[in-house]
Amino acid sequence: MKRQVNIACIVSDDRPAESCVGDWVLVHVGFAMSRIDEKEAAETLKILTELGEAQAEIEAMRLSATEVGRAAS
Amino acid sequence: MKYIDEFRDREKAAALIKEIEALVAEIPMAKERPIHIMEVCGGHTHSIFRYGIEGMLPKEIELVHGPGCPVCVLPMGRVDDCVAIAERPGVIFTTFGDAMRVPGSKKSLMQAKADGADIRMVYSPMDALEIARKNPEREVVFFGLGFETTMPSTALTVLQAEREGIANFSVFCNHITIVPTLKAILESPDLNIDAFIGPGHVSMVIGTAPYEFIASFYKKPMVVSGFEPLDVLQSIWMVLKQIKDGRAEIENQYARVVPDAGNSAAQDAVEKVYELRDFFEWRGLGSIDHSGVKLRAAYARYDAELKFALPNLQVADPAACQCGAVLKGVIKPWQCALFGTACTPETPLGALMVSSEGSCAAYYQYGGIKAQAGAA
Amino acid sequence: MNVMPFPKPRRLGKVNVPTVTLAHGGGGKAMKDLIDDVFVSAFDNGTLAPLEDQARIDLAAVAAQGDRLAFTTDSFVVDPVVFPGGDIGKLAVCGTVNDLAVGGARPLYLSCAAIIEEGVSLDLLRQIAGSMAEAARDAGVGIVTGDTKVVHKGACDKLFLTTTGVGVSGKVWNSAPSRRPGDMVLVNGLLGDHGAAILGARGDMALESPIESDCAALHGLIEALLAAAPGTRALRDATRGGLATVLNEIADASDTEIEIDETTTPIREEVKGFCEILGLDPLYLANEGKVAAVVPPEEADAALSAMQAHPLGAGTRIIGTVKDGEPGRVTMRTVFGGRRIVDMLVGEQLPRIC
Repeated sequence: MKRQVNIACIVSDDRPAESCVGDWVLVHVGFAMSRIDEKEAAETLKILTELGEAQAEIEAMRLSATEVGRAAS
Repeated sequence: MKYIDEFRDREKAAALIKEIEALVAEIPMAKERPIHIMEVCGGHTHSIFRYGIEGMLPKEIELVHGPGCPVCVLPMGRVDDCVAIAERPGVIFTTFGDAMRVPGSKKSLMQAKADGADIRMVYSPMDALEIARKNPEREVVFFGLGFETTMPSTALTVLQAEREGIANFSVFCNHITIVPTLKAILESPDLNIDAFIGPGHVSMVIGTAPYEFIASFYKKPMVVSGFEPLDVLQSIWMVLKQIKDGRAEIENQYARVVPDAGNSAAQDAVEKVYELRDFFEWRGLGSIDHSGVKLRAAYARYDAELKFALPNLQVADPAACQCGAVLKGVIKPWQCALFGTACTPETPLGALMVSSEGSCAAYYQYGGIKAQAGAA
Repeated sequence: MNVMPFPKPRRLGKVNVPTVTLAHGGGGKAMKDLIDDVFVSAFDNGTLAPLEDQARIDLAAVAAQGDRLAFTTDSFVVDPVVFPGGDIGKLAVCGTVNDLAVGGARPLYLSCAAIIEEGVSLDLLRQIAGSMAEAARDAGVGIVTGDTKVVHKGACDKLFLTTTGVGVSGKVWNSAPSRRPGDMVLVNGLLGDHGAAILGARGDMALESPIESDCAALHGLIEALLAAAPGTRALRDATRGGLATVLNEIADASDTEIEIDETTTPIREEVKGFCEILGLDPLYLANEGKVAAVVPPEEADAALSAMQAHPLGAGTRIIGTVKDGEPGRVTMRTVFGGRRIVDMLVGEQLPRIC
């Protein structure tokens, strides 16, 4: 998909237009409004991944605890 | 699609749902009554319905779909003004697609187009300016609507028109601001909302500081959220953690797009081009002080309200409409007497039935699935 | 072809001006020249060539192919008339062929009526008639009768086409209305291409996209499907209103619920991106070469492999099942694990900003 987009909102003196090439940006009604912060995106996903892992660990511990319980009885 | 598909991941969703269920079990209030969380922005409402999020949540959580669909809240009088401009000879009236169906007191833009007005849907205000460049003998009017997200785009287009000296372009400015509106909702005596999911795209422009009063004064938690379904779920989870801990803070789940300070270039453009109106009329909510903007005197020649004589009449919402009560979470859409009878997506009376983002339209179209999904 | 032979060959007229004028609709020589130059020469068959007011078809030969006459008509208006992947001519042939095919009929003959706006270029008309002829040849149908009218500028948008189709069915399959819980829903590939291609080609949204229309005649594919799965319960081509609309029609007609799975519903990345930008839902975008089939579970595997073996069905997927749920409702399991209702559209799908 190709379309002309206005980038006035994401460039500044210390971030010239040339430095945008290759960036991922959020576009709203034909205007790039934000450069996507890769570090922050990765951070958000990391929290969610860890959440899943922690749950899996707890589940594993619970299962093994039940087994121990069963073995003991 | 990068930064999109990762945030639609089913496994991560399942993990979040488990966390949410565990949290809800630890919140004593949830045993007495449902926790009401309002998502302010229509984009969130869309994600919630599009991905079936409501049906995944424990029954102790009720989502209240807020006022953040700029199309829904357009009052009939403003639509009448649009039609009046569009029907003037020589005018090309340009608008975002979703405004086409909003009813005026006599007709919508869609009907005005059928009656012969030259009304064109555009994706961007820049496209409207391009139409003006190509049709110098016509008056091209852009219907500027939306919250702070869209405001800078219209402002930058006006500035561009000025730079190029394009005289046949003007804006019918109906841009509205979110903060006074949230304040009006928070001030209402029958308010029934425990926490907010904050608007992501508005915040990308204005930053997170303008919401501080919600936490400090009204003691309600808010999490500024992205629009992918995982974003919404994660924000619900963050809000619940605040409720459980007894905190009320403004948190930012959408840091990949929303810098805490917002976007200064966009803020500058807004500041340069617009000034606050004393009040603005909302469909469903009535008049709210300082909730709209207009073009500053320096840009008067781009202001369609000044360029054309407008009827500018106030048209009252139908008396039986209970949009306000639905918006504030006091009643559910289907508890309104007009819902699904006099007021349907084909013949919307109230704001919330107008666009597919409106909570009544969404319920009408997707409704009633929560109970069944819970059983499935 | 089973048509009456006509003895006397005739010299075809020729138009020597670049655009159509009202003179070409006047009933005189100019009109005959237009019909000859544009349509008769392209469609090139013995039944049309004599320019009688009707095509006469040998009934016995038709009846030998089945015991039911299938008869359908459809009008075609599209802006722009030429778009990536096809034009209004190809659309008018494939659309009517498909309307016959989803009834289990073998398409035989088409008529073609054209309403032409004055000022349209002859080259464009020849191009469109040429693509009609090509599509008809590929589909093995003859365009055997037709009509043209020319209207004032603005009275129509360049060119409107109406095609009526005649086919035969009965020997192989009759559409059975009863759907049962457990039935499987199949679709023969990527959804939404046509709708996205047209919206893109219109240029209003200033989006450049590589998406092409999926416009195709489906009777061969459907024949293969019905041979492999004679118990097929329902067939619909998912045109205007997209997959969502035809599934609603099927669910409604059979008082069952249909549930589809977003993870197996095939939509190309470009169409997803296109919809993402404009706030559209690809399930409601038009297709012109996609058929939704409901088959009994025991025939689902056979149906799937038969369709996948056909060039127009390589992308066939099982996308859902018929359930004993809320009658007339269509739901979707989302990629995210939630569930939503996929309702009929109220009106036209409009681009959203929020």
